[in-house]
Amino acid sequence: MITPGGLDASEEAVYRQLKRVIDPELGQSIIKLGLVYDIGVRDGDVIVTMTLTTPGCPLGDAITRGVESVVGELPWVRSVHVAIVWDPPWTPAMIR
Amino acid sequence: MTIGHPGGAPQGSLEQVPPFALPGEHFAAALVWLVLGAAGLVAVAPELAQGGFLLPHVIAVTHCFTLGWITTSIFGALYQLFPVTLGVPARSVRVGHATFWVLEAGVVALVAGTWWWHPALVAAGWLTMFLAVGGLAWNVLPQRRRAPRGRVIGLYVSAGHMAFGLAMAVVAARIGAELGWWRLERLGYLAAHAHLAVVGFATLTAVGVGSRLLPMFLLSHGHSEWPLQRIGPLVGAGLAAFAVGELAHVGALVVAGGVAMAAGIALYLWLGAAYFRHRARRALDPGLAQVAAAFGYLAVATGLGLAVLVTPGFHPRLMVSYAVAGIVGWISLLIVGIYQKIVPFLTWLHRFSARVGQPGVPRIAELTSPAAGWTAVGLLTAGVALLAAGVAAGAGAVARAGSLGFAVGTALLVAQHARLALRR
Repeated sequence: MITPGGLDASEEAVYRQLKRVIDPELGQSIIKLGLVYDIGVRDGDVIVTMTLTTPGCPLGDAITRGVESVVGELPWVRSVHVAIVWDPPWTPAMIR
Repeated sequence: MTIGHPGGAPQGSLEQVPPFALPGEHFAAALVWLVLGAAGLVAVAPELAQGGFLLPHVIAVTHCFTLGWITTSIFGALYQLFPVTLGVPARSVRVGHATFWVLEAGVVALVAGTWWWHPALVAAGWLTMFLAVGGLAWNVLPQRRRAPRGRVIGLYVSAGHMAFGLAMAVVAARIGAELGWWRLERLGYLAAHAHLAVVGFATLTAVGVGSRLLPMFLLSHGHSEWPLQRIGPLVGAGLAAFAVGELAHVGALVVAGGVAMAAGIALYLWLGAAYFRHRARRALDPGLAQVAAAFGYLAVATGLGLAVLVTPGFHPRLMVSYAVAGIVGWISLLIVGIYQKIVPFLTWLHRFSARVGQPGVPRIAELTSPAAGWTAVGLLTAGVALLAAGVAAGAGAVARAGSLGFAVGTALLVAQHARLALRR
């Protein structure tokens, strides 16, 4: 689970954008829910490593597209890749 | 700018989900049947309070619920659920639409034929239903062998479908008895048929589907999964023994089967309580509160079923109370609760999912009125309680008051869903 500490300026910009992606069922941002595990930025290419509250979550596609959309709004971003991972599995204890 | 998913497409990818029209037409038709069933309950409440479960109008209203509301809902849900949960879509969307229309034609014929007691129409309805059930089985069930996940859910759905087929076979056996081909005692047939349909088909399907949906909606983590390995075999074996015992007049088999079924259901109640106990979302919304009430009725129905099983003699009002608690209180209200979650969910998915992260995108809970939702929950839950109590006490006026409450709650619920469907 990612925290703002230790992020460089570009990663922090991505982090701020991700706060806009709200899980519509739970009403919280994916950052607050602890779904985002890592943000990687290299030469304008962004990789967001994240999970979902449950495997087979029907909102997975919508949330992924939302991540791509909001991160893609940053002017210096060339590409956005979202990696969905299940290890470690998400638990409610990850909610901030 | 490029986009992509190095970790693979998220499970439940929209690409695999059928067009909204397929589950949507099932859900819309099912709601019409719920309205008809609720209106029918008001009409037959006095007959129910006299224990008249063999009257044509009562049988017709029962099938508005079992075939119209419950079966149509389950069929629609399976088309939506298989791609999302098991990772495999139905074989053909076109066949899905076709089975929907065949199913509805069959239910109309069966309900109308029973209400106006027209045996040829009932037989035509049975045959049409048979085609619809076979069509869904062809379209969905073989897909589970290719499923990368959701094995237990697939097994429950298959077992439920098998019970549905057996429930229909028992009806065919009854038709043979009517034609003089063999003997089949009416009450035993009815008990076997009703339990195969409601416990075997509806409840086993609900156990499987609910094992995915309920933890997801409750945000429930950390509950035991092992009861799912026991509930199916216990209920299935009990149901088989019970049905054979009823059809063959072997009392010991009926009792043993009934007790095994009740034990399996008790285990499911324990699992259901665990889903709620381990939830991260402490505050229940109307949909989840309705699901909780449905579990309460499952407990009541199990107790009443055991009372019917062990009480000597023939007690038609007790049997009708049991049926009301099981069919209307348990499975119908469970599906009502799931609708209160899933209809706004699907509406949001198809109207707003492309705009996640943009301003003005509502939360799913904001699509419906909590006040209307809670009022519907109260009316439906109290309505069933009053209806079941009125039937048990032989009080027609009380039963009718309960059915009226249920009907008003249904109208409120349907109005809410209609408003949601028309929202732009």
